[in-house]
Amino acid sequence: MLRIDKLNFSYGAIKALTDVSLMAATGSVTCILGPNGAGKTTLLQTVAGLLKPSAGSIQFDGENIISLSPSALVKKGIALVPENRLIFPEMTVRENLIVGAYLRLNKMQKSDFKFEIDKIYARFPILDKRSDQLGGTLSGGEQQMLAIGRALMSGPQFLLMDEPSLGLAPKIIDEIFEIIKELKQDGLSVLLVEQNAVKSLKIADYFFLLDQGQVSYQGGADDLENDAHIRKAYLGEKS
Amino acid sequence: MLGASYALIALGFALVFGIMKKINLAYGSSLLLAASISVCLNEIFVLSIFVNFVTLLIFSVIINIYIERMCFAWHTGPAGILPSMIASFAIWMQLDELAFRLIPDRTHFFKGIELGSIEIGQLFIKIDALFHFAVAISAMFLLYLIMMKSKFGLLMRAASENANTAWFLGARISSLGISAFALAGLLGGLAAFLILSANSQITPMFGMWCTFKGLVAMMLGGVGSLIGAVLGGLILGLLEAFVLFKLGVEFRELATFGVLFLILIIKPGGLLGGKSFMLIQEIEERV
Repeated sequence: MLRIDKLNFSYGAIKALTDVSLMAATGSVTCILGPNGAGKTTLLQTVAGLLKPSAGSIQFDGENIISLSPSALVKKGIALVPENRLIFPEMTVRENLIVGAYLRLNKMQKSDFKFEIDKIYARFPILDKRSDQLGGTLSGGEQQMLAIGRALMSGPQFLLMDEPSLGLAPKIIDEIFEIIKELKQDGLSVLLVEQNAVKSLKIADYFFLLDQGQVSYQGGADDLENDAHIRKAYLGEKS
Repeated sequence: MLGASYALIALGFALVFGIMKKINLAYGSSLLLAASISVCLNEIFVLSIFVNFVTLLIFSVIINIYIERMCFAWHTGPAGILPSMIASFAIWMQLDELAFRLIPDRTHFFKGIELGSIEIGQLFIKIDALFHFAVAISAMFLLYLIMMKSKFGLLMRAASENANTAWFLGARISSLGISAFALAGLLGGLAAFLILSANSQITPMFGMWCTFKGLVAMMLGGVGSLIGAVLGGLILGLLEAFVLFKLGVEFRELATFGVLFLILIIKPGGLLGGKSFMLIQEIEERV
């Protein structure tokens, strides 16, 4: 379980997060919705250890992880699928995946490693096909799959996903959300940041709305769908 | 033959530049100081060639790690390009000054490998030159293997493409920076040993000379590209030999910088350096 308590973060004088508290239960998909500039990415990067918050606490399975480095967090089982995918364009698909497993490589036998990478290839057959191609030659959807595969290579329990649907075609978006559903079925917990509210509603168990750095609403998928205000603001329905 | 050694120095620059997107101006001086220490020790204790070689390498690595800690440390030290470069300029002066103290007179004997020469028909070939060439080429090949085949090389390449991404995937960026500088020190130390062996002497100008040759070779080949650095070094070596032979020594530097000037006009990123150059532009825009 990931528990964020009264988290504050500022970029200089600009407050990006104000007393953000939220919880993401193990084995579920928790979604953070919100408009551009609401602080969603900042929140995710703070959890991943890339940004150091000015106040508040982040607990993972009861342990305060706020002062841990990104590499320590990866070891704890928290992996980030970043916004814009950020794969390594000049490295092959296979090499990208190896970098994802880097912290585990020394402990792994060759056969274990093959098992892990085959698991990724089984989940994303297209990556197997493109194994020796450079990351930069992949299409947007394939790159997103690579970014997810790369994060999975570290053997995480908790996946932080930053707008995985960004800039992808509708059909590919469906595929990505299908993958997230499968990940959940495999027992992974996901903290998902999204702008695509309609699609997120279908897969997420619990929602937090972030507005100008503050949690403005929280509830289950049903609550959210029934809330008139939310329907208007996030699902684009006319009341 | 010198081209291969130029290539090694250029590789040292390119390694650091490729990974950190920053130029280490103190690189040449670090080689000068390491060589000076080795010469100094040799003058006091009269060491064997091998010990000379090893001390040079060790000090070159130590000094380069020192430079990394002082000027380039990731996330701890000065983050921007400009502060790092200016800091490395200061370290350049510091290292040079130390070296001047160690070898006070203009020219000192450098104990390197001498293998004599052979004559094939009309050609008069120095064996040590061939040997140097072979060593330098093998070193480059080895570096290529490390970068392409080892886990460490993989991580280096990942960090050079996007250090931040490598960081959140779990790479320990600061130890990676130290490794990059240590490797650059090793390459530079080897290059310095080969060049100084060929000259049998060292002057305090050696540091400056290394910086210029290395930077020019790197810029020729393509900024930050390792293969470009090798290419640039070899071209520079050939060019200098050719000009020396055809036009005489006074035209050598003129030709070098003339060619660099031309390349920078025709292809500003260097021969193989389109991408990296774009990166610099991007970084500059952000700054």
